[in-house]
Amino acid sequence: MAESTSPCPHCGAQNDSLAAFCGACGKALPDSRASGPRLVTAELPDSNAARQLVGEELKAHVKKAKGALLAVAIIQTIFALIFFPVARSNPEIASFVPFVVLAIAAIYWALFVWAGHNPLPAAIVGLVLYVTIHLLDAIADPSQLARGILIKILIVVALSRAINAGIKYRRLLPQLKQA
Amino acid sequence: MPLGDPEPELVSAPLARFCTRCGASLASGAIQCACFSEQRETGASLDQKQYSSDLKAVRSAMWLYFTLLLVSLSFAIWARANDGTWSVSADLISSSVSTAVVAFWSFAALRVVIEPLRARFNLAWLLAAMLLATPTYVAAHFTVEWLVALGIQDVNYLLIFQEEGYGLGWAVLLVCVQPAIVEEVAFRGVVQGSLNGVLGSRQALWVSALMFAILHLSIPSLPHLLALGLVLGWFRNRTNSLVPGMFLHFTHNLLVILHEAGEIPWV
Repeated sequence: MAESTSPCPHCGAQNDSLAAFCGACGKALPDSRASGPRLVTAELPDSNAARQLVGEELKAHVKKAKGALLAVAIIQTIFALIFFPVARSNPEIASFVPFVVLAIAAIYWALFVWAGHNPLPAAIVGLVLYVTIHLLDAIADPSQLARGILIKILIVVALSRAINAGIKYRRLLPQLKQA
Repeated sequence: MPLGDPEPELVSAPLARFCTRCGASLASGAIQCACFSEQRETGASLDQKQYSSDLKAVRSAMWLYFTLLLVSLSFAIWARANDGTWSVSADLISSSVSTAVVAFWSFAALRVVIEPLRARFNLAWLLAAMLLATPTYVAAHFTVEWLVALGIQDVNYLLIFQEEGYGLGWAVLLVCVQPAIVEEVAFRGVVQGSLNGVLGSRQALWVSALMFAILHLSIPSLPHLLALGLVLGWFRNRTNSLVPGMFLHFTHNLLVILHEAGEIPWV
């Protein structure tokens, strides 16, 4: 953080050179920096607060990515648990299919755990896998497409947002180390 | 208005009564103004330029994947409408369409594709690539064999080519040459190249290999395609070029065809 200070022309109080308003009288300072996107870490009063703010933001992004993957993991697990005994007793369904459904649920739990450390790759794989599985499902049985379409759309939106959160996470992480 | 030398100890930052950023008055005892947390929520602390270029890179990888997925799924629907089996003529059209799709996305992400295509590499890598195709093929062969024993169906490409009156040349072109070039440009070029800048080389390698394996839409092939994707991605990172990977991919697929032709009796 810059250490240089400059006096307020209205009351004479010393202000940080990055300040746009006087901390003592609240009036605008001349020649203040142009407004626009600024780095929180560069302007916070101390590095502990900066670290805390960046840390909180990082946590929020991880939470968003983990939340989306957790939702898919729970839905796929519930589906697998209902589907497994039905499919096993139905001779028309190939014997490996229920295991594939279980494996998909397991993969989403694994992605959920991965998102805790690396939200971006986990979210990308999660979205790719989700769209692929459900489009394949729709082709195998077109009546499946409309079933729970709202939930499917919501999940795709949530996973896309998880990817956005993951990108932000990756770009903010170095700031935590700098702060 | 005193403009003389100010006294430094007059107002220190923690005692400020007004926010030095937005000018709003601070609650007594508050160190930070609410405008800090507002900014946090709008994500303004991010480098926006960096963020949008990352977003663009991830989007170009994802949209390439989804377009290729739509192409294969459309042909799966079409094949099912025509008695449900894999046919050479359908494959011929779907290969052409996916080639066009990859060409389009390569132009959209020209920089990440052209660099690894033009990069110089040691020619020994070509030999290494072709030799490495043997273990990847053997691994693939036994994985599929094992999964077929568990009841999963497998396809014999060459048999279908022969049944439909297409010779070995067509099989080599459609099963070996076209995928080797197009899939390498798509997955190691566009996908891995775009993601490299965002994810770093190791995670980009895993994500692109997973996308490569999933897109083949074949459960028996999934484990060995993931392994093949990792090997091909590693070659791309190691040599900075797509060409050795193309050789590996070509040789791997050629061994599959040769085995189906009965030319490799040892596995």
